[in-house]
Amino acid sequence: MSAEVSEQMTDAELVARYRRDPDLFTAVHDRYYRDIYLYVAGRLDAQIAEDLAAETFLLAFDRRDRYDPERGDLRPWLFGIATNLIARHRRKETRHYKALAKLGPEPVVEGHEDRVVTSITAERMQPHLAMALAALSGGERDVLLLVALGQLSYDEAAQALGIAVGTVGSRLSRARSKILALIDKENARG
Amino acid sequence: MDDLNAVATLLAKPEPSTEAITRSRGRLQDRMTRGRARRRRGWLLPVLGMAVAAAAAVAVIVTSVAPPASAPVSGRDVLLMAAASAEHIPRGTGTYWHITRTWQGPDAPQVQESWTTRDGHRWSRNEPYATPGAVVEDSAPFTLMGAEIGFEELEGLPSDPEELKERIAGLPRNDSAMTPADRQGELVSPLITLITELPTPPQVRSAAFEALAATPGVKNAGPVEGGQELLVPLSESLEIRMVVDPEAARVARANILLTAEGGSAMSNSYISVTTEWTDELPR
Repeated sequence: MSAEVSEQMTDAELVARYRRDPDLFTAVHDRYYRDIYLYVAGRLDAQIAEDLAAETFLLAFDRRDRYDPERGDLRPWLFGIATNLIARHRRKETRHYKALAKLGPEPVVEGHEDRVVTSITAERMQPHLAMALAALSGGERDVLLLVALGQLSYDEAAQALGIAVGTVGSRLSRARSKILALIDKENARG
Repeated sequence: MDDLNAVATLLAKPEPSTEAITRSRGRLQDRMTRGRARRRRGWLLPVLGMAVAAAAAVAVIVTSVAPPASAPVSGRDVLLMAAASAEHIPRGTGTYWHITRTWQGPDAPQVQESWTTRDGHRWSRNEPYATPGAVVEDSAPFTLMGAEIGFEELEGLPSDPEELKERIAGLPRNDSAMTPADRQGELVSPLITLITELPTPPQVRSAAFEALAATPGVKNAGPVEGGQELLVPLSESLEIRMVVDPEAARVARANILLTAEGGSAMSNSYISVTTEWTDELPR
């Protein structure tokens, strides 16, 4: 980590710095590794996440000249690269959700009554939520998870995927209505 | 936004470890100092190749100020690098698939060999109960998971790691010859069998190495003569120790050798193994 890069520096300043001195690209890594890792780990698993998150920054470094600060921040650009790498594991991702759906932990039976009710509802919901994720189209899932898991704004998700903001909005609302349908069904039952 | 929060909660994972961050930064720094390496296998090889090379060549110095120049290579990386190498090793030619196992006997090194043709004729030397030193006709078929597997079936296995595992899971099998974990789909033992002695074609070997790399709990004990010493859990109580040469994409030796005939040979130290195609059948 270099003393020349401070935490307050904006992405644009960071980019200007590493363009002059490529060694400063490690600062990009240190700033965003955690976010990218947690995003990939949520979609695949921790073991693969370590590899893909590292790979994201290697690709970013190789392609650093193609990054245009005018078109958006570093963060969505990096999430876009990570999302492309995840796409190679699409089938594995689906299996990951199906596995989550099967887990169905035993409901908590001790403690305060309210807490018990809440936790049972959440746990009953989990398998349905996971199945819903497995059933989404690739494009819907990318948008939903960039927003829900990666905490990207609509604008950032659009930049990450290279699609229009309107498309982000429509894919997200389709994904959410599929998920809400399942949650509502569960709430009505539970 | 409750639904989005629920998704985020469902998929939340623990923070990355400091080691993971350091390893990742080390890889990036390797890439930065070495510039653009020649790419042999898309995105996979440059990274791993450098990680291994750097781990071998550079003493890793950890200080509180600077991150290490390069992190030690993981077991998974070794297997992935072997996967990348396997693809580029030309398919051998010859009439016989020749397997040689060597281990330290009570007095002297012991050598066991076999020669198998593509249609399944097999000769061996020094198998148990055979006259020592004589090459004898010995019709033990290749097996995987307790069921016979021929050359053509090996040739027809998928070259994608996930497809390979799916195919193996659907092959004929004998449950009593499998570990409980493998029966449930781990398939670590058959994958090791595919890369150890069987005449598995290069693309399939590559896929098997890559599939094996996804096994949880693979550890690298470090560089040894002839490769990297990996510890691979076969079951909850059993771990196989094997030396993998990531360049040659070979299992050089193992303490538990999963053989082409479906047996397993155990040693307190190591059993070395080599395989090759040859036209020579010693008589």
